[in-house]
Amino acid sequence: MQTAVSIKDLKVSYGPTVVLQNLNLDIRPREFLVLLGSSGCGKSTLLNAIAGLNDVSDGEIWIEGKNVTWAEPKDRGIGMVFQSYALYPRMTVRKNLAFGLRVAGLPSDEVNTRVARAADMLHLTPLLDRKPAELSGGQRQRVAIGRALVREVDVFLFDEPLSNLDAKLRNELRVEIKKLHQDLGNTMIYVTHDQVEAMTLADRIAIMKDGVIQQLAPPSEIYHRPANLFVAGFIGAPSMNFIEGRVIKTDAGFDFETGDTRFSLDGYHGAPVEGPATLGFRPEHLCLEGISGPELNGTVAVVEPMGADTVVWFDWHKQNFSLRLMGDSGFTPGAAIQVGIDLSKASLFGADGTAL
Amino acid sequence: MARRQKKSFMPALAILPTWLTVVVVYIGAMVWTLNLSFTKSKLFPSGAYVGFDQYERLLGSSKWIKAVSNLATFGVLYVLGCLVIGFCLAAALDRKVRFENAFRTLFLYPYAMSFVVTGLVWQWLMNPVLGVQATMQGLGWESFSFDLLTSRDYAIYGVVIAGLWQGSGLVMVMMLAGMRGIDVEQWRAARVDGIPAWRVYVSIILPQLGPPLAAVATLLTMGVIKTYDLVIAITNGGPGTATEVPAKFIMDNLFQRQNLGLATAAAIMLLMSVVIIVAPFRYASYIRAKRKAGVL
Amino acid sequence: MTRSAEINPRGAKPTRITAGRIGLYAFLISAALFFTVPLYVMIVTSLKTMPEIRAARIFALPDHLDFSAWKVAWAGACAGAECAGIRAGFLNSVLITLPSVVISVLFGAINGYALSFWRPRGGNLMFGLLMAGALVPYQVFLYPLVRGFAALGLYNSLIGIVIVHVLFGLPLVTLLFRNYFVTIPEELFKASRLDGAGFWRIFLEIMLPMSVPMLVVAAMMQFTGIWNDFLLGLVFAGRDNLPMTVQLNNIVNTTTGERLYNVNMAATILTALVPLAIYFFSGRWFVRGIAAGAVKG
Repeated sequence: MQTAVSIKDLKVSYGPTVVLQNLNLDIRPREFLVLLGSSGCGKSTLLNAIAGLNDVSDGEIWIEGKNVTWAEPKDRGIGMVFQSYALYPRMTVRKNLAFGLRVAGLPSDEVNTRVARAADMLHLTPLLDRKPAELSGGQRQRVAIGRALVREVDVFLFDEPLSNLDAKLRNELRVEIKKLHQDLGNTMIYVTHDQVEAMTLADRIAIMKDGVIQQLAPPSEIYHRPANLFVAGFIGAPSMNFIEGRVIKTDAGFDFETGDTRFSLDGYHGAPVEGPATLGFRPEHLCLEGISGPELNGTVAVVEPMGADTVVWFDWHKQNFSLRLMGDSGFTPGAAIQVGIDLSKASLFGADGTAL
Repeated sequence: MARRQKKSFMPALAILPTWLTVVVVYIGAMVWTLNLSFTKSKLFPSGAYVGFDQYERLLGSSKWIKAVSNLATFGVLYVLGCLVIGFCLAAALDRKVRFENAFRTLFLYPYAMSFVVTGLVWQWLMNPVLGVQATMQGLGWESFSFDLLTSRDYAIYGVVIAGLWQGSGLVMVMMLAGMRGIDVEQWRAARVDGIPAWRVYVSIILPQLGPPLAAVATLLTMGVIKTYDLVIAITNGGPGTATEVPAKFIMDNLFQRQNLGLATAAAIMLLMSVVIIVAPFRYASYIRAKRKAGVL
Repeated sequence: MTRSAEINPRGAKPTRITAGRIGLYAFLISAALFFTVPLYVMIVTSLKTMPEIRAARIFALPDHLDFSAWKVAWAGACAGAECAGIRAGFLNSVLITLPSVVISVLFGAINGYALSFWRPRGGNLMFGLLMAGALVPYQVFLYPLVRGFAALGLYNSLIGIVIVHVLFGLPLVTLLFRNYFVTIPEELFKASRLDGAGFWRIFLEIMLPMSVPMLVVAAMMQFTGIWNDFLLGLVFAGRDNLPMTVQLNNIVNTTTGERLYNVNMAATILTALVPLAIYFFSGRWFVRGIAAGAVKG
């Protein structure tokens, strides 16, 4: 059994609108997979299809070696945590956790053991007799996780579970979820639109756009080697800088030409191809000293100090670029600035947007 | 300063007519009625106070006792029946059925009609000689019986059926609105948990519909206490006193039997029953509001 | 589960009509029958002749359409000694209902506006008393009101019954408008005051145009309520102004020889026609009104 969850040729449509088409995805056992994308990209639709909460139009869904395409959600061996938590408001925490098990007809001492174990794990034991309204946002979130936990299943589905929390709590719970995954070793599929969550939690990230997975890779690969222009622009804040131009073959190798500037692509890791292209480089991959590659001579427009680092926005050839510096910068708006691009960390995209 | 005073004077003037209504009509008339209930007034008001004599007479009147017990039977069956039927109809319509709007329209239209109309329709349907009973028997179902209204023991249940026909739609509308307001993710969570739909309605949805349920139950109960037109139209209190109700008892003593003291005493009793029913709800919502304000 | 070994599930789950689904529709259809059969019986009975009715086939369609019962009900049926049909009652109901609706909605709107934006001193107390008053059974007020109206010479008059309907309509309409105006942002009110508008100008030019939906709902609630009233009309309207509901009851209870069930049913439909028309043509507004009004419970 190689995969925990396997999606084959999945198609989901609402009436005439096709949300997902020909989607294939294999998720390994014990993997933490994050589905990342902006709203409307189909990531929640995909998650709901895995859960059995959406009807699929075509394709198959396999969980733990069983074809569950037609199975009821409860028979799929999944637990799910919802964005609004979906706790039953008139039941205590204990009843919330136990309700599904009781309906399934489990003996009551089994129910009690499982509830106690989950409550212990999530530090909910002192809260067991409270109603959801008497809990804080973070506690409610933990109860929602607990409800998935007591089902003792192999696959957990999370649908934007942290988006209703404030920033501080979100950071705390993110760490807790990661720890939970390390302790339990379950397969987890996690939907979010927050790239920080995706980067920090995931073993692999699937970035989606218009119902298509753009890239499926570990976070560092997504960040450093984006598969296409969309992924490159989506991940990272401030986002990647782009220069449009064309690649020209020379005797020595390849040059990049934009406007009246032309420089060699020596040191680029990929395989450039002649023709129109876009050069992308992240703000932290520009350097002020020890410049070896191409040089940009611009004018500082805005300086944003953020404490640990500073983002300097500068203009070059009527285009806006960002540069990230550690600590404070000595720049003031209007000053001249000279930076070099570290080509070994840059990305080059061809005319169709895919990485070269 | 002068302009400010002028401004604050107009709003007070604007609600003055309503103040007059409240003080003169509501409070004034109530006090007058209360006062009359302690006198031995017959056709005309009398100044002779008799203490609680009228109330004693009332409690000794078998007709009043019968009227109150009828009202209790009718009230319990009507309110519970409307709540159960209305909730079931709402739950059924909530299940993404076809023609939902058409069904909803059909379930609610009787509520738009007058009690007199309702009473007369059901009187006709329950007509023992020409109505549903005779029709079914004519079709060969000899034992079919639907002549509740002519029976001293069952006439009140006939009134209940007519009441349910008119009132269930109201509960249905209120409950359906409540159900549509519940977070859909609870439904998804319940599906993942494998909870059957009926169980979700009973264990998860119903407990959350407390406030609208209380509101609609109070509304129905108020209707029960005021029950008059329906009984007048369907049975006129008969047969005998089988469907006599307090409101009718009061009207009869007020306008036909010239028993002013007794009628006003009965009216005050009716008012007390409203207070007893409504006060706990009011108090509960008052406490809830206070607690909420305290938390915020 | 064993079946999945033979067939590999793929694509849309085949839709099977489950027993639950059948039960659901069976329940809905039988409920729909319970609610519609009385209306159906009313209509077919009114179109039958008396010999047909005597055959005791209440669900059967009439042999041929016969509107004579409707004509009698409208213009010839007897209420007591008078045989002029329900026509007079219809006219009386119109004359009672229209002014009652207009006046009570107007006062309710003014009350709601004054209470939510200007908050005159004692306003909350008045509103509380008004709401409490709405719960009091009419029987408590009847005798004093009858005496009071008699003293003013308004008892048994059209004006008298209109005033009574306005008095008892105030709580509901005030509640509707107060709850509606509370949802309008107060900044709007403050801005118009800064612009120099006074009490009536703000009401007429800003608030009233914004409250058209509530005006419709309130007018509809009041219309059906007053049209369907029986008790107040019976006590206060007087012989010459009896509303349709009272007239209907009198007609049905007047028997000269055989009871004319077809005429009775025709008269019943005629009485129910106006509120039913309102309901069927504006069901959504109607529902909104019920929901808004029921909140007070």
